[in-house]
Amino acid sequence: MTERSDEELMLAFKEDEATAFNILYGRYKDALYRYFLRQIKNESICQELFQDLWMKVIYSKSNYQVKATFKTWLYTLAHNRLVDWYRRNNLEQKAFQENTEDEVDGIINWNPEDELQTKRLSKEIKQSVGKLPFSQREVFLLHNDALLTLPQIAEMLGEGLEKIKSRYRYALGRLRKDLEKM
Amino acid sequence: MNNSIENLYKKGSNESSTASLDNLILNAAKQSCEENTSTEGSRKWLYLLSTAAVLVMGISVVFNLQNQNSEMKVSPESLDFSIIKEDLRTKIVTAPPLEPHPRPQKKRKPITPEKVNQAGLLGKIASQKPTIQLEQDSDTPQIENKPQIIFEKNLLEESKVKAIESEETSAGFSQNSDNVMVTGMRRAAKVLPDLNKENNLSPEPIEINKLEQLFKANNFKQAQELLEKLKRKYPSYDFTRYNN
Repeated sequence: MTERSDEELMLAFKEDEATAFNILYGRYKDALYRYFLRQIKNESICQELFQDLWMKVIYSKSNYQVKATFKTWLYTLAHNRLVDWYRRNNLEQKAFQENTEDEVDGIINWNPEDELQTKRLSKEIKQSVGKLPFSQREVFLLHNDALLTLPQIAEMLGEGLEKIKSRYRYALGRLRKDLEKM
Repeated sequence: MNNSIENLYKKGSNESSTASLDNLILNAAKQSCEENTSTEGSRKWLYLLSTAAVLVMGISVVFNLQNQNSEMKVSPESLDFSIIKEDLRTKIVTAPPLEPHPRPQKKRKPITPEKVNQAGLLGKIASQKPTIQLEQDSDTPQIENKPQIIFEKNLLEESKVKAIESEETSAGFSQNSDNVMVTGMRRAAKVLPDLNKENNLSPEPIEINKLEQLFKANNFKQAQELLEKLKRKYPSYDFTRYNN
């Protein structure tokens, strides 16, 4: 049996097929949870936002129309929810500050077979991602957690593709710089 | 270099939502599906119920309108005159009671023998002598006289109609010929026998038949009695043919 697409599953859920939602939830719950967790850095707030988002998906199912991919629609909802939260907590200016430091080239001495080193570096990177400015962090997370392509992210955020590419490049530069310091 | 960072990040990213949170969200989804199916059922009932209510309302409105029409005729006693100004009130009170508008009645003049004679038809009938035919009965070898009186039926019918026509036109009414024919025929059928009696013009065909039957049966005594009776009743009629 061929696997049903996200859009087909959402349409089935619209027709009150609860199992379709279970499949969709299984596909996106982890990536979405991490997206919130990296942005907020507070697990309880992250859970609250995560729950809010899925409730919104459930209650807006009757209005769902296949205009874009389900993934883009879902992460657009998540992004809007996050921006709302930032605005409500007066964190807007601080969060949306862009870091325009030049990209730093460097070499990380990483041996993938060394599990201990990998674990340590992964932990460091996660911490560094949390330190990234909001716009760069968002692009990095959407690309690596949600597995959205850069053009999809540009479409979702309503920004130019070049701007998104630039943000991603800066994000990587910042992470590399942090790792080099270690 | 970029790839190594991405790989390192993905390897370390394994956080997941808690099981309780997952259950909460999945239950909410399941509940929303069940609610929708139950509300669809109730919507059907609501639709049927509202249709029935509209029907009942419509029928009751029609009945009310009909009742109102019948109750529109209000008696003057039931009116509240206190809300009407004084001058208007006196006008209403002193006004003569309303009566139904009188319909113009047909003024008919009684049909007199003169009128009938004017039409010149009953006179014809009166003056007409019934023809008596003698028929031979083939069964009986003896020759027997059988008198039979035949009236000219067409003339009689025509006379009935024309008499009524003359009555209607003299009363000043104009009707079309069809109506005159119908009403004339009916009225003539009622009026003519009375006219005959009043004027003693001619005996009824039944009476003549009865007389003939008595003669045929050689019941001369009764026949004579009847003849005398008829002679008294119709003095102007010629009964001489029965004397023999």
